[in-house]
Parts: sequence; structure tokens; C-alpha cells
Amino acid sequence: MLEPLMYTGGVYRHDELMELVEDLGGHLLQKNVMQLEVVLLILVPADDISEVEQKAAELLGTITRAPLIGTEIAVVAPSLAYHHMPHPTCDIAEYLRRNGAKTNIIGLARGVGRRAAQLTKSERGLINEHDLALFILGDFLSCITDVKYQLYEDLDVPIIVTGGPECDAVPYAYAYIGGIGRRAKGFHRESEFAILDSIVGMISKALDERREELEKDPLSVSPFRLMDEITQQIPQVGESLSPTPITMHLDGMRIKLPYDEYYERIRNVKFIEGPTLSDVAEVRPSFMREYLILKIKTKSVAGFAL
Amino acid sequence: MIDSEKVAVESPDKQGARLIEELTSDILSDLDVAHSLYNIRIFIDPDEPVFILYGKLAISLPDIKISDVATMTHTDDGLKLDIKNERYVNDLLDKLVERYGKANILQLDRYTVLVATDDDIPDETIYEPTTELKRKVIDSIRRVAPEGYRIIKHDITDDYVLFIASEEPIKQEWINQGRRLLKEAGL
Repeated sequence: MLEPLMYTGGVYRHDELMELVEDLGGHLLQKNVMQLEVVLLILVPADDISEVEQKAAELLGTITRAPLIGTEIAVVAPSLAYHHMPHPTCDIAEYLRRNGAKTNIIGLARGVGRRAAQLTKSERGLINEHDLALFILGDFLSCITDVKYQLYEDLDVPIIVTGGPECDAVPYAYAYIGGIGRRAKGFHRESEFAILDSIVGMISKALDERREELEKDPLSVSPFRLMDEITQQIPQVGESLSPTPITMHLDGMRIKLPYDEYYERIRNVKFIEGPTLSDVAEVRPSFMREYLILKIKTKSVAGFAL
Repeated sequence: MIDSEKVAVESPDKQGARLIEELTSDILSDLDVAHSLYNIRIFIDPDEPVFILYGKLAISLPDIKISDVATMTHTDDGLKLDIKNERYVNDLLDKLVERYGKANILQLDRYTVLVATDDDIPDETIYEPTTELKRKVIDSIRRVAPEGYRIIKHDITDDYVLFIASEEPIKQEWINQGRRLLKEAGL
């Protein structure tokens, strides 16, 4: 069992922590260097957390648990106009990032109003590439319960909806969190942070359920092992300027390389046991730029597990 | 009495009304119009759908003329303007460029401008605080109104603003309702 952690500390000697994580059999998912500060998103075997904590203390850094590490979440707003930005959409996305998630803010082309509210085909495809979608809706209950579900009723990923009014549940959504709605100010009060924490809690719960579902028919290869193999065999991944050249999903990943150029090479990544990547995963073009999306086949589909 | 804090929202959805009230106060104070727009009343019904806002406008500052900003003296080099109030220099220069062309204007330093003319410049208005205020008020109201409500009818004078927005073509009854709000407020 790997535990998701976030290390924040100085640049000096942080490579020692990275080496320790590798030695313990963990994974480094993201490294952000901001001048003299470094933030590492890591996965560490649960039994060895104390060793990592000890090392972090020695380097005068801090370790915090970041439950959303290894997931990509779509934060969907009806549009990118000032009615939704920067509060609350960006604030929520930022809070999810602080909890380890990779977030993408998506502003819909026709998400506003009642009559025209709908998803385009490419928006639907793009949102379905994520692990979970969080919809940021407005202040009126009748809009949220009677109309806006049209935006997410056809999506395959779990949906969490936020809005202004208090309400127990909304149709087609995994959960609804009230008390946000349209805002013209940031989240400053303790009660407001409690709402953000409840969003993180609800997302973790939804993702845990998805993980449990995956365990019933396990993936043919661990996504993190696959990530390591790709990084080693295709060094161009490391040359990407994106902060996360490989963005992890629960059952695959997004690789930020051009599909046409790298499709064959990715398919032919070899495992020491014999099979190639195309035996254990499906490679397809992403709706985001020219990137690749990789979905790992389950054990029952691939016929074996590595 | 100017009570900028008071925003009265009427809606069949009570929770929504409370949230819109909070949002309106935040937006008005954020955009610096809280003291210029007061006695605000909003009617919003998402089922219709309609958004009606009425508010009184505070009296703004008088228009700024060239004589308020600079003193003019005729010299051998042309008309010399000594700037008294630097805040409106840009507006003054814009006006001069519009009238005389860029080639005939020379700004010697921060406080001195030379214009190649022998005549007096007519004392024109260079900055209208009322127009600026109206622009800011309409901008803030558009931020309060739901984004999908793109069909807008508004009426803005020096005393009040009436703003009706909807997703559907504006109905006569909504305009009547807006007029009634104005009447109730004595306008």
C-alpha cells in the first residue's frame, strides 16, 4: 500500500529524499522547484513513512499527507467569465492542487443559462479523460436540480457538484456540496475552509470507491511501474516543458508527447517479463492538445498481470 | 440617507435571494461603486427567467474642463498651458491631439504643454465623472446578473438605473414591473 505524501523544503540536498523514496520502492510523481523551495509529490510504502519523515526533518522540510496525489481532476465551470473566475473556480482548483491533485480548469462553451446549457462532444471527451469532474454551479436550487444536470448526466466519470444553496443530493451526481455558489471574494474564514475540506474529503471518498472497484478486477500492471518504464525507455518525456510530463490517472496516464510522433514507440515499450506496452494498455489520442492517453487493461482483459 | 449596504432582493427562491444579496454587496464594494449606487432592489426569478435591478445613483462630481486643469498664456512659441492638476493630463492631451493634431503639440516637461496656435482654446469638457460612474455601475450590475441572461434592457439617467436581463426576449410585464419599482421609489 503506497501512501501519498507531499514534501516541502529547500532545494539544498532534496535529492537525498528523492533517492530515499526510490530505495524504499516508492515513486516520485512531480517535482516543482520554485527558486529556493522545492515541492515533491511522492508515493511511499505505508510501512516506511517514518523513515521519510525522519529524513524530511533532517533536511528541515515538512511532510504532509496529500490524499489526491496521482489523480487528475477536471474543475468545470459554466464559462471562464468573471462570473465564475477567479472565485470560486480557481480557489477550489488551487485547494485541490495543495492536496496533491493535478487539476484542469475547463470553461464550457455553452454552459451558462438554462436554454442553451449543453456539453459539446469534445468537452465530453475531455472531461471523461479525467478521474473525476467537479462542477461549479450557481446560486439557485431549481437551476441545479432541474436543469444543469444536463451538463453531466452522460459523463462516465464520477461527478461532484458544488453550488450555493444547501441540498442533500442532485440527480446524476455522486455528491453535492452547498455553501459556495457564485462568489466575488476568496475563501478566508475557517467555515469556508471547512467547505473546501469537505470537497477534498468527498473527492477522496469517490476515488477510494473507484480504487476498490479496480481492485475487484486489478490492472494488468501498476500505473506507477508503467510510468517508470516509459520514463526510462523514452527519455524525451523528461524534455517536455510541462510540470507533469506524465500525469497519472487511477487506471492510466496522460503522456505529454505528440501522438503521431510517439504512438509506435510508446506501444513498443518493453517489460522485462516479455510483453510490450500494447499488451497491457490501450493508447489513444487525447482531446487535450496532441497528447496521448493511456488506459491500462484489467487483468481479465489482458489475460495476465505483471 | 445613503445606505449602500442595503440591498433588497426578492425572489421565489429564498436561499438564492440571500446569496445574491451577499454577492451584490461584495461586487459593488469590490468595484468601488458601493457609495455611488444605493437603495438597490433586485427581483430575480430563474424560472421565468428574469433579473430586474433598480438602484439610485449618487450625484457625481462636476465635469472637468480645460480651465480646471491648466492655465493658458500666449507666448512667441505658441499657446502655453501650465498644468495645475496632473491627474487629468492624459485626458487634456487626448483632447488637444484630437483638435490640433499630434505634430502641433509639444510637452516640454511634466507641467508644461505648448500648442502651435495663436488662438485661445475653447474651454471644453475633457473628463466626465458621470459617464465614468455609469460605466462602472453597468459593469458591476452585469457581474451580478446571471451570466446566461444576455438579453438586456437598461435605462440609466443621472438619478437612477433600471436594468432588466433575461435569457428570453424581454417581456412587457417585466418592463412594467421595473417601472413600478421606480414609481415606488418616487421616480
